[in-house]
Amino acid sequence: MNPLDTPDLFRLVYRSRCAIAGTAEEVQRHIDRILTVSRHQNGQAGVTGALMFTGLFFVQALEGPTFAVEAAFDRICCDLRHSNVEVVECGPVLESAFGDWSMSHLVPAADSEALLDRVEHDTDLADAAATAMKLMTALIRSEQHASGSAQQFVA
Amino acid sequence: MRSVYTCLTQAHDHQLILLAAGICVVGVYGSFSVATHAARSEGRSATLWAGASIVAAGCTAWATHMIGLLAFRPGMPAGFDPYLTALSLLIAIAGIGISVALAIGQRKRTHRFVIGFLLGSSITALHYIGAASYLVAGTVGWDRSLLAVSIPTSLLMFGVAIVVTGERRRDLRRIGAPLLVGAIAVLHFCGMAAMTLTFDPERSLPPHALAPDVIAPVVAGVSFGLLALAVVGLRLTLNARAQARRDQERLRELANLAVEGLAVCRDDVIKTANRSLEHLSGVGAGALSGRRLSDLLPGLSLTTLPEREEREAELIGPDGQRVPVRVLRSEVPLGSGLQTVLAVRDQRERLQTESKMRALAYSDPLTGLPNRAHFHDLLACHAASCRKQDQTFAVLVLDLDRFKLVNDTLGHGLGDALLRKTARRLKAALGAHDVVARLGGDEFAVLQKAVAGPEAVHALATRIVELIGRPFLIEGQLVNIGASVGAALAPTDGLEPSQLLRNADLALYKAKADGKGTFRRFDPALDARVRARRNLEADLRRAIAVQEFELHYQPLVDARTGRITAAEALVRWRHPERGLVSPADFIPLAEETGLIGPLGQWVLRTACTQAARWPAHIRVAVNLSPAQFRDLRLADTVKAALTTSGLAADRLELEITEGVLLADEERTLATLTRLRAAGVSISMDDFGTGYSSLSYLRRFPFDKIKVDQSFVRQLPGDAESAAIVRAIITMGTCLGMAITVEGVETAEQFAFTTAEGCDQVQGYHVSRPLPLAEFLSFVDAREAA
Repeated sequence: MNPLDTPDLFRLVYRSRCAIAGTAEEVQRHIDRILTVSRHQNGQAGVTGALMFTGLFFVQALEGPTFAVEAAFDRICCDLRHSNVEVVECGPVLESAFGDWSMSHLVPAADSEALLDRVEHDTDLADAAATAMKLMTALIRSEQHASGSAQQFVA
Repeated sequence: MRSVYTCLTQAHDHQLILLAAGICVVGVYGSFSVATHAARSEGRSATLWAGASIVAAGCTAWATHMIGLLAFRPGMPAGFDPYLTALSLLIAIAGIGISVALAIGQRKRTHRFVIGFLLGSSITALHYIGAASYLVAGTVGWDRSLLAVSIPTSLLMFGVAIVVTGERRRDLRRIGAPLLVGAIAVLHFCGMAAMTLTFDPERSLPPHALAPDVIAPVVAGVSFGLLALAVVGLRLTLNARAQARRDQERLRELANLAVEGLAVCRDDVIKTANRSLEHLSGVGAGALSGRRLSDLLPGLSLTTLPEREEREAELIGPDGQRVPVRVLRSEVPLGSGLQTVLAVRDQRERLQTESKMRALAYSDPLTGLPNRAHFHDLLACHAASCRKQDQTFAVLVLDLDRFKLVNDTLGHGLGDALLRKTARRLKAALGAHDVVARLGGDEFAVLQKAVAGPEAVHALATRIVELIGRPFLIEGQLVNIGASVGAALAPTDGLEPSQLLRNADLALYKAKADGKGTFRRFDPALDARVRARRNLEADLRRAIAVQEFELHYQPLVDARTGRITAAEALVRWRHPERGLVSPADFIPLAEETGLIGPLGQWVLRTACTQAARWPAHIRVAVNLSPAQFRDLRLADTVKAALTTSGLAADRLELEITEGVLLADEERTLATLTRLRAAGVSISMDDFGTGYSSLSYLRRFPFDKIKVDQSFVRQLPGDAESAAIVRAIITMGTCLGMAITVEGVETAEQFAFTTAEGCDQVQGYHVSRPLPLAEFLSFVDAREAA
């Protein structure tokens, strides 16, 4: 699938609805736990990516060798803490779009509310996907500028 | 006593005495070795060797005696009486022979003593007859008191010697031989000492007396014979020893070759063990000898172990690990006497194989889940225990939607990966005590234990549908499938495992029929529907057998002239109880069950036969179902119906729907071409519904297109319907195909279709389908008009 001179890099982005019950704090604690486990496992498997939680939806990007992304996605799809898993993007890529973090945690900024609304409510998956990618890459870039800002949790 | 000493030291040639002793030893050795060989031999050779041994023993006694006599220096001319000398030899052989023969297998001591006494007597006889054969030129006097002491003493010693020789105790047995030698010595030397020879020049040797010079070579010859026999005996003994060593070595090698561990034990102590047992217990060669059996096999008591009966035990292996073994004790004659031999068989491989076989028998190798057989066992077991405790549980069956498509298009390797991932997701959906199994193919089943109520089953099914509905990523490809789930809840929906599975299956069918990716619980109505269907099927079979069907005909009229040009044959079922049954109620079932085959043939034959009697310008149209096209002989069946009825081929129209063309298009087109070549016309029925692929019209030149009645129903008011009908009419005209409009019910619709240039009209406006007689009257009325 890849030319010989490019490494095997595969990207999968999905959107899913959060199925964790409880108050905002409890949900946040769950998400922190998910991130800890995810960073540990992804770090070992060579998967990088980003997780964005909008308060209702998760959008997660996974990048890495095809088999490693497959294994990570298998694990994610066995998880009952979310539902309505929809793949937004899936295929081989030439370069990583989400940096080298084993799993960045992206928290949408207050000014991106309009975009968030589209991520959550757009019934057309392709549109929602494009919006989510735009939002996530923008967040990544802004974080890289403010390198090491409090918004990013580093494992 | 002094006389004995003097006799020995002064009256004898010492060298000859030594020779006598030597011959005695050699003779005894020869006799014994040959006797031992006789004991080892069997049959005739045993008898021969035993005889030789007895003769040799007798000769030894005689030769020793004779050399002793020759060693005697009486100080006067001496000679031997040849007859008495020969007699003494015979007595010695006979006495020893009889004694030995009596002694064999003699257990009683008194008997043995008597035998010893007998042996002593024969030796005594040998001695004194021998002495009597010794002739001197003088007189012989005897010390009677010495004789009175020495003869009983030696006889007593003989008796004791034979008694101890037969004893069990080795140390006692050992003193037998010295006692025997002592007895002979006492007999001989006391006898010699008791003899007093007085030289008497008056007396001369009798003429038949043989000089010592004459008798000496005879004795020497016998002695050489004994020597030769001893050499033979030595050879035999050496051979026997070598053989025994070889046997032992071979036995050891054999024992080492054995896969089983073998140990020869005395009480609780191992005497020897073979290599397998050393290997099994992880010690070096010979290290087991002398170890206690209870250290090696704790908890095993050799004394309580029944013979020739395998027992399970545990052996302490290398590093103290416990090795499961089976042990077998047997008493085996090894060397001298019975020995306890313990055979130890390693059970690890067998147990591993067994567990592997059990795993293979009870689990699905692809997913590692329990298989169908195991699931049935688990279900039966759980159902039985729940019945006692009055607990509820549920059986869910599911299969994957679109799995066959994925398997066929993306390959079996990917299909297998999909099944493995499915198994993982199913396990994620289950509760802690629930069990999921793969029944086969893409079929799975779940046993949900301790169910609180229908809500819990619903929740689990929803989780399963949700998890399986998520995308699968396999080798870089996204695959979307789904799961349909059917469930039966015990005890509400059944008690028996088979009933629960069947009901869950019915629910699954319902779930699939209701649009897949969904869940249905068993509903008694489902069962009733299935029963009703089964009854209808049986009824239909009967109806075909007794021909409860009849044909009705709906006329088709020329749009311009209004004349009847054809009639469509429509089958009706005149049920004895239910009256006239609509085709919609039984044709789908007939198609599913394959009963459409015989039914279709009947329709075809009957329609042809009846139409043959109609006016020649009226054609007959018969519908063919896709199922009929699966029969390769369809074209021949049609031709046969035409021949039998005498109907001209151009008066038969066959109507097919595009469903016919969907499956195996090539074969269907070939059949259609053959039919058309025979002169039969082919119509495309229900055009406008379904795919309505125009490529069909190009691939096969239909004679006629029948516009589906759904378009006609809203004519002429609905502009879109009007446009479609108009377009189809135009298209048909351009392709050279006649157009029939079906379902024309009103005068307006009739007027519209006629105006648009349609060729034929069919519908209630013209006539409803009529029974044959009414149809014929209708035709007559129209023709007359």
